[in-house]
Amino acid sequence: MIKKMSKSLGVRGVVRQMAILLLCVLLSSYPSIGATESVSGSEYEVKVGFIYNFAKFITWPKSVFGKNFEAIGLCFVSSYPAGDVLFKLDQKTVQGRKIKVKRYKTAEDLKGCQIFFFGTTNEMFIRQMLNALQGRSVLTIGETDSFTKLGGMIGFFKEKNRLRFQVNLAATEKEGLKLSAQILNSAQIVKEGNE
Amino acid sequence: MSKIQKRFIPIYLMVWAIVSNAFICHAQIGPAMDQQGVDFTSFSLEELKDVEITSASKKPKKLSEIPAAVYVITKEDIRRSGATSIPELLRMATGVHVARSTVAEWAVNIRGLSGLYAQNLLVLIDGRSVYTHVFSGVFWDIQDTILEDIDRIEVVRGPGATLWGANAVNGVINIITKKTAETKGYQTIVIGGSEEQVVSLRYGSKLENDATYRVYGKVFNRGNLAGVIEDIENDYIDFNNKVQPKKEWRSGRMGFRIDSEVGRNMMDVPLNTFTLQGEAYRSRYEKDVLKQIHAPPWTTIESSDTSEPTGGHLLGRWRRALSYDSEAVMQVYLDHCQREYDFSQGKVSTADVDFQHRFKHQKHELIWGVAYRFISDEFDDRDNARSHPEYLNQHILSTFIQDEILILPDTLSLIIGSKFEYNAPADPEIQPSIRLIYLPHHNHAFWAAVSRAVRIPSRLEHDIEKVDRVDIIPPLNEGERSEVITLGNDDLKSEKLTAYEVGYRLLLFSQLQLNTTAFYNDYDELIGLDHNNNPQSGAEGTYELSYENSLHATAYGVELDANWQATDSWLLKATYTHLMTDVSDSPLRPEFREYKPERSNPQNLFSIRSAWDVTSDVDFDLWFRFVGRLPEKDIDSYTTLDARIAWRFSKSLELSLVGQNLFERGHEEYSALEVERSIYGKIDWHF
Repeated sequence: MIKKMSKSLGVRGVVRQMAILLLCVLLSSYPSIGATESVSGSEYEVKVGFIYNFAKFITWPKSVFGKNFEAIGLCFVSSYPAGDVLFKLDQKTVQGRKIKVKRYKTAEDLKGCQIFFFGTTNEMFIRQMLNALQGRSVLTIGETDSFTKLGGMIGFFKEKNRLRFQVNLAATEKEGLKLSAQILNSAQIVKEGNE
Repeated sequence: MSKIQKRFIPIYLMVWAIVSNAFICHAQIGPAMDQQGVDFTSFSLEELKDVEITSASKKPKKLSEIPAAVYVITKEDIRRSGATSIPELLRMATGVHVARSTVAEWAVNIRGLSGLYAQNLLVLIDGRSVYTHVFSGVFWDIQDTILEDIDRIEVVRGPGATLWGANAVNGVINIITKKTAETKGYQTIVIGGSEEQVVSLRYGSKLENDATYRVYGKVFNRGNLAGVIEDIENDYIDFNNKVQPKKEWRSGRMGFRIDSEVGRNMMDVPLNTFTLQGEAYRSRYEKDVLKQIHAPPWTTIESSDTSEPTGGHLLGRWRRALSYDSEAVMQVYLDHCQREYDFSQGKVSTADVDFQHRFKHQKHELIWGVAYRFISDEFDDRDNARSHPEYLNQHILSTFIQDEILILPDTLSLIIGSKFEYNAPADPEIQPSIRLIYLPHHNHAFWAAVSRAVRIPSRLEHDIEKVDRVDIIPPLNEGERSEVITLGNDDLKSEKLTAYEVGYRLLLFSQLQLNTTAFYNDYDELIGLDHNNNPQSGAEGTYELSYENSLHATAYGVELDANWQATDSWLLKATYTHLMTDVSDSPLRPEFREYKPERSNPQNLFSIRSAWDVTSDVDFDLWFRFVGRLPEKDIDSYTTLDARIAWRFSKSLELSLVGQNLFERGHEEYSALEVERSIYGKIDWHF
């Protein structure tokens, strides 16, 4: 019995298995440090949590989604590789729809975007992009101080090393987006052009 | 192996197979990403608002993710070190042995087996190689810039040949200056002290089309090291000992750099980045040398030689983003240097063209490149030494490819690559490497590497013809001296190294970082002098030596460094290096000891730096170092202490006071000359 099994593995297979096992055993014997820090996280990981909540508590105009079960497109640009953590939201379900995360590359990509995250401080790009997004009922989220002033809808900012966000109600209303009380209660509300 | 053991092997194999399959399944099922951090999507908005943000998420590639032994000297390290030259800065890095030999010469070694000219190190300044093919080394006296304009120095220990090419055998030192956008305005730096006086000026601003530039100039005057080498009475030439220069070392340089970013693509990455930079320098110091009269009575006389290295370079670089995860870089530079070599006056001109392309394809990150280098040199004839041929043009063509394969996302990566270098008429050199990095948790990293690197024989080892008249060997006739002829060898092969490295990194609560490496280097076909087969050798008091691939060696050791942010205002950085080397005996007969390779390295190196922000405007820094003895050179071990106090009186003015080598009046580092205790004051005025 034993002989048969070892034969069926084949020499090459065995060598490969051995190599993999050796690696696993060698490398798994280190002491691992538990994630005890429950209330701290890297900036973008926390932002992912925020964005997930925004997607949960926002209502788009019915015209936005063609079929009932079409996915929510989350598009983003990011100057930093850390922005890639947004892909964690891919295939998660909110409001009965799957989230589809996409790194924005060309103007073509805009079609399937319901949320657009600006992981950049380039004001010129933000202006251009906000212009291009007008009339498409896309929730725009940014992270520069001036983001809501430029016409963006939700802008992250930091206070005592914690994330906060501003909501530009004029902009959301103009695009026909409804934010639920959960969002509004946690937000700092700003009016366009005011500050 | 006994019969019983043999019978059990299949059982072991089966158990292995089952367990390892379970491992693979496990790895596939549970994505490593989710096990590591907290899943913030399960948090409510209010809960999220309570989460504290930890920094360090915006770094392009974390140091802990690089599968090589790397130490980065940051601009903050540079500012707080009190060091005033590039080789002195390198003392901060793990595993780098820096020893000052004369006022203008340093031996800089990594992982051993090198002499004064650091034969196995590749040094790049803003992408320009400053390695000289004449000696296979680096002339540290001409490598300088305004130290405040250096952004960082990356010191890679171990072979970097796959990416950087031949001669990156024991390590690569990559000096990177700041972008001009970071150096706007005026900066004046004045240093005045017991050993040196330095003045540098820099101005940076914006051009019309959003390009930024800086222009700078720097002059210095450095005092001599203490003591005089008394070997005038010796009748033979002692190659190891440099003689005390009479005059001080003066140097001046001027340069500029322009950076321009043109266009941004939809992903907010600059489409085109252009850099143009250039520099010209002149330096002067006098050293007394021993010269021999090539006729009876064969006397050795002392004479003074002025060394006046002069040179400059011009470099252009164009970086183009092709898409979010793809970019191409084209770089061209010209370099010219004219200086006194030990055997003759020489001129070397280099032209280099480099192209690199980096892109991602699914689980692969590929980098490939091609490079062409043209080196033209010319040496004067001397009575007792010349290079044959006197002029030489060399064309070096190389290409490399490296693939980083993401085996498990964020957890396991494999890097394989090789460089191929062709320098006619020699055979092509292949320098492969394989590296593996495993990040089981974001606080731990393990890596391992096996690589091969070569050092191409230097121009001297190839082509020198040198005659020394010595009395180390009993002369044939009374009153005459023997003659030793050193000959280059056209048939030399490259020196070869196979290096094995493992490393482990630990990050504890973001306050403590630990980095350890162990390595084993196996060198073969090392170049050294050997007795020539010429039957005439030894006859009539004339001996011929020639360079041969006659030596082999091993080196192994461990390297350790730790950074500890003890409190918000107190940072400690320590490094320790243990190095063992074993070089095969030179085939030369004992009386030719002066012709044996001079290789000497300390077994132990230790350094600890303390940076304390006394207030937000006052720094207090200490730097303690221990360097073990150099047995072959009979240099004692030494300990030093440097201290620095700085006051920032306003945003634009910083005054500092630095004391160096405070423990003793002076100590020897590489020659009989002593590095002395010194003190200087510095004004840094910028607006």
